[in-house]
Amino acid sequence: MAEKQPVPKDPIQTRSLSLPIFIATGILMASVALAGYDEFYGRRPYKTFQKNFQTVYLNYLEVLKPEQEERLKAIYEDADYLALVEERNAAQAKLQEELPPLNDEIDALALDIAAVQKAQKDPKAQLSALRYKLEVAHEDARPAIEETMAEVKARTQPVAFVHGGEREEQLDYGQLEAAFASLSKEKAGLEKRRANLSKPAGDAQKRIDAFVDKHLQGPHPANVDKLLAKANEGLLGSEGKSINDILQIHIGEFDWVDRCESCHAGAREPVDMRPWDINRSTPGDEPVDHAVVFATHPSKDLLKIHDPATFGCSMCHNGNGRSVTSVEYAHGKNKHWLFPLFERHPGMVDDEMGSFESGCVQCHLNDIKLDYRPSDHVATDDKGEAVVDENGALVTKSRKSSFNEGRWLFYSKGCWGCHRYEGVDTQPEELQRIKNETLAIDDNIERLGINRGITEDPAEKARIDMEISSLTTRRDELAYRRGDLERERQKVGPNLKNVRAKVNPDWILPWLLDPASFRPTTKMPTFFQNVSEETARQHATKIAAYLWQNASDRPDVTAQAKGDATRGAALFKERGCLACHTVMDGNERLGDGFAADLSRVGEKANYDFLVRWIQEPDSGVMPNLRLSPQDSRDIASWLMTRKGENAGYPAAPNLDDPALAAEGATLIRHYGCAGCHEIKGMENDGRIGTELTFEGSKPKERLDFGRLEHGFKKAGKYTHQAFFEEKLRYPGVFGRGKVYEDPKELDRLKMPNFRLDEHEISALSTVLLGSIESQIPQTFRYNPDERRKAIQDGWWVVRKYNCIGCHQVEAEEIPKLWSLDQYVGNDDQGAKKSDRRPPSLVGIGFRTNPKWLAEFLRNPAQSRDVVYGNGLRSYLDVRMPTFRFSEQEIQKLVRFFGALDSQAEPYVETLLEPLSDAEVTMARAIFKGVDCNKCHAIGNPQRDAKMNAPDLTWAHLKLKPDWTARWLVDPGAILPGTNMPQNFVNEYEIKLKDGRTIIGVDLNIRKGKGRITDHAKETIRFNGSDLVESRVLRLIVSPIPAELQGYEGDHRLLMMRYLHETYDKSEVPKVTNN
Amino acid sequence: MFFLNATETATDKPYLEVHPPASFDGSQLWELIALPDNVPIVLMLILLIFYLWYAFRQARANDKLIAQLEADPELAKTHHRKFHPWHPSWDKTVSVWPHLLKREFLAAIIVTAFLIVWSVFLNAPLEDPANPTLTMNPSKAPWYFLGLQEILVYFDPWIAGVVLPFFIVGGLMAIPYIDVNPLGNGYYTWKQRRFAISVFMFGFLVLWVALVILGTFMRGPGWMFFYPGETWDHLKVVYETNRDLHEMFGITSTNGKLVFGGLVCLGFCAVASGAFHALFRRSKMYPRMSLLQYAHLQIFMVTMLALPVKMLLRLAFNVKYVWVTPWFNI
Repeated sequence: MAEKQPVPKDPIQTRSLSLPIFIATGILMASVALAGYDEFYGRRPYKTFQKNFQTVYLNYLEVLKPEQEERLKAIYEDADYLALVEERNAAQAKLQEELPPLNDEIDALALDIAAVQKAQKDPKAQLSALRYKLEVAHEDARPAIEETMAEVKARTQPVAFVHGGEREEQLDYGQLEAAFASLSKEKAGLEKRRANLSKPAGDAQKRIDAFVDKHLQGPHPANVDKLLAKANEGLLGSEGKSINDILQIHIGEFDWVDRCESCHAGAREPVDMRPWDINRSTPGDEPVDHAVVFATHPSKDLLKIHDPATFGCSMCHNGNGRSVTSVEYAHGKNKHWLFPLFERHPGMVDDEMGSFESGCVQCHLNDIKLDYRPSDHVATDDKGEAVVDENGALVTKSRKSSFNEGRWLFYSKGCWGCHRYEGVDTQPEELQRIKNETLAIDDNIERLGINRGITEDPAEKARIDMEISSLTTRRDELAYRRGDLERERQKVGPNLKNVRAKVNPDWILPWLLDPASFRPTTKMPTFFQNVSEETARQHATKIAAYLWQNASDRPDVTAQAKGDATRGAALFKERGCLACHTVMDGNERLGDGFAADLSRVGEKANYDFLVRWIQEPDSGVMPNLRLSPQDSRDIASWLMTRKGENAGYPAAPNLDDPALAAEGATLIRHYGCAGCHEIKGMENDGRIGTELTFEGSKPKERLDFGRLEHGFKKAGKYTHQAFFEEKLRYPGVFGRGKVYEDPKELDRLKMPNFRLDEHEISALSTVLLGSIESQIPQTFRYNPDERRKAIQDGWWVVRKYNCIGCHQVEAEEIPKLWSLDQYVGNDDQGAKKSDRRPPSLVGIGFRTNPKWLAEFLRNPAQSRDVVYGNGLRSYLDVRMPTFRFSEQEIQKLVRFFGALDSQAEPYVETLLEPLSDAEVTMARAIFKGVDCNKCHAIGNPQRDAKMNAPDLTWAHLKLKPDWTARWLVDPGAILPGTNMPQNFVNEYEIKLKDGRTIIGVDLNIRKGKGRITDHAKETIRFNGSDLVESRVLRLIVSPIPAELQGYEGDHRLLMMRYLHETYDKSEVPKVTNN
Repeated sequence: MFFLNATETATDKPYLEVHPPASFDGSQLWELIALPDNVPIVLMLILLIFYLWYAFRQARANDKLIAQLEADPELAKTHHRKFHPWHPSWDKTVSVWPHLLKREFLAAIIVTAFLIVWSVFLNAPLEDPANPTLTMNPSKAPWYFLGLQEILVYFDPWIAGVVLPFFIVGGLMAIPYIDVNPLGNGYYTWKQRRFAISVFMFGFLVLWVALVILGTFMRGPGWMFFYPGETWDHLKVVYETNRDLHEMFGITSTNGKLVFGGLVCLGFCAVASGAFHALFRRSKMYPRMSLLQYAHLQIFMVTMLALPVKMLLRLAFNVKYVWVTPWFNI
């Protein structure tokens, strides 16, 4: 039956696979094509960016060119510019006169030298060959060779000279050599002269270039043309790579590779092309996609210090510098990259730098203040859209440095009380080191003493004695430093050892439970937020009991009479308390929040203690204002009237129960109160928190997200930054959802709530985010020179004691105190009220003798006699208080001020020539003539009260002569806004009060610029070198006062010498203090 | 007084709420499946099912052919292509060139294209740089070793890491020497090699592939068991107290433990081998085997069976070890 059916074909043997193979091959080809595309475009997105950048950049340059041309045109018409050009032309004209003959001479000399060299050539070659022969010849053969050499040397040759008249001379070998030497010397001399002659013209040209540079605010049109040509050719970056190339920075020393510029091709272009410039220059209204990618780096100044060629990009910005495959990878945003880009994130407040500055932290470990200006930023409205002004231009605004704020917050909020951070609050560690070393030294001395007893050898005894004495010296040094450190070491909160004498006992409990409702601005964080209300009350009661029972009674706090509160109110404002404290005066809040808000201090304080404290504060950074006892009583009386609406507190029970106190000790240790307060029995307790020095690089797995981990992961917030921010915002948040079992509720998260605002949270998390164990080698990190280190060290002290509350330290900052009513505007008599404010310290390093400054800081009264008042400026109501600086802090401050003004260290006093009798007469006449004592104090309290300038009897101790000399010429340039009139128009022109003017003629530089105009910043950096050279002046004023006739000299220097040498010693009778 | 006011927990910050681990989290499951590391395992699963089906289809067709040929000896004499498809008039043999090579070529093209596409879309699964102070959790072996890593849960490392792998390799090498069934060479068949195929399928599918799947998709942080899709919560705590068998029987002395455990293991071996013998003795292979061959077969079969038995003891009765000795634990 099978035979009848048609036989089917064997599918294995007959089936053609051509079609499947054809299709499969097609698929294979397609997949190869896919791989090719992926290789050349898919994984190289920077190519597209580069093409877009070229378009954007060309557009921008096209717009920029006419703008720059316009600016240049304006500059060419500027009078100052024309003056500079004239100066240069004059110099060139002069040069044109003198240069040609000189050039001719040099050319002639060159010809002569060539002729001599040509003549030397043949004998020289011959002689070297003969010398070789001589050196290798047998002794017998030598005379013959020497003879030949002599012949060669004696042979004369004709040389044609040009210089000094054309002539031909026959010279032998020796003469040729001599001629060559003398001609070369002559030529070198002339060339040097030529260089000197051309210098004025060259310098003038440089000044022109600098002027143009300064006023052009961007590249020269010619340079724009060059940039245009380059961009047109499709060349990118400083090395001119062509489009489609990777642009990379390679730092060979430790194989750091950054290819960021492959996309950010414009980062280092020599123009200032910000995103809004790109949008402005691009045709059409639509904003450019990713304009920020193509922008130039916003802070060229910063790049000057951190040259990308040396540092790369990712060293500061983080991210994955090597990667160019995608934006996500390059920015290090992929899951497993440990260094994601520091960037702006949605929560960031607009006018701050935020985590852009995190990268600074890893190298600037111990800096408290970065010395740079953050780049501007486009202002945005509530909806996050850019704000545009009436001309359609974007409004930019400056930004605050989050680094500076974060560092200061970390210090001022006392984070370091619980969390160790390298470089902050190092005193306890240093104390420990000193203790250890002292113990070791003691051991050593004891051992040496035993050895000394045993040994018989007198030499050995003497050696041991020497060793013991050197060890003893070291021990004394350590003991001194130890005392210094004890003084320096200040916890953030007040000392609680005297709480019993200090506060109203009923106030303690409500305060502990909720400090913010008593004093919203207090640094004291809110505790007990993670425990139940019942437990909170129990804990607070126990803590209060411990504190109360462990505080000293202070028997020396004597009862004080009541003072005059009205007078106290005035004194409080006058004496400068408001530089640190705030207080509600009526409905107005006055003062600065550096220290406690005293608006309700009357509710808590004990009057007797308060008087004593104001009179003589003995802990913390609060200084002694040298108030009289009556002043203190008055101020305290007024403060006692500062109370809130409901001033009463329920009576505190159980403060004296010892059982509660015992439990309180455990709780105080649990909550870490001793991190910020001095508490009896807990002076040496360690920190309770985790160390934060490298918190930013702690693996995320080690951050305790608790039960919120899944939520954070889902929201894409599983990051260090989100953790820090939420933790700071709600410190207990990561305990949510956890079930706790300890009936005492001690197993909760302990971190208290510091009630930070968004600014502060952002600033602190910026610092924490940057606190990483850096991969950057030590050699690349910030290693400040002496001057910069002195500045940073000084800032710590300045901010610790809030010097900036009263004084201006940087020109651009205005102290809080200065803006108070009593220092603004004019008073009834029309005098400027600003005369009565604390002096500006700008330029003080240039002004003061460091030795005096240190002395002044130790004792601002400047006298053992003046107890209740100011020394130098006795006319001021506001007091320069006596701080409890340690010796090291004083040194740091003095160095700080010196370093700010770039003063040489150490300061060596100039030796001044003593005044001759005639000069003294002259100086006195001028002194009277300009009536210096009209404003300057003389150390007589009654008289000085009306004055408004410092006591000149201190001048010789206080001032640097260089400064005095410069100050006399132009006080306004050194200290803008000063009251000091410009009596000396210049070195040879003095205005007298009676209207006459003394004019001297400078015989040396008749045409020179009389007045020094290069002030502004230079005054601060001024080194004074051109001021000490004396110039001969002749007085030509008429009528010349008889006593001034015949004096030849610089009057300004004369007055300086007078003030420094003579004035204090003889002029003013020393005033005795009453 | 509590740390978050009602307003602050508002909907704009949902991540500040506690999110309980989901009992089924599709996105996490997809993440797990799509992980470049795990893609081969998923592929393996699919291919395995396909090839099983394919092989058994062929085996069934061949078995039908064999039955037909056995029923018709005449046909068997003239036409004995041993595999499906067949026809009496077709060639008895098919040559390698070009028929096999043509197909292999096609397969090579397809695989190459597939590998290229794969390499374009899936990057190498690189993770964080190694950090000696931080062990990843879960830390997993390469996918092909996950079966072994799973065995580590049930035995001590010496047994799970050395002895059992040795038995696997040794057993595979021993197959040609203890296989006394001459049938089934060069064609797929089920009927003629039921025993060999069943044993291999048990060893490979149950004891290897299934454990790999378990290790990949169901073992999360702390090597704890998670259903597919259950959120991997590394804070998860489970109540699980395992005890050694002798503790259950209250034996405490060292020697007692040693003897007791040994007896139990011996007992298991006796029972298992007895049962196997009872089943196997009726097989056609049994009379053909030498004592040496049969002894080896017994050893491998008993060891193979020991693994699921131990797993069962652990999972169902929380038995940690059966036999605790100073040198090894079983």
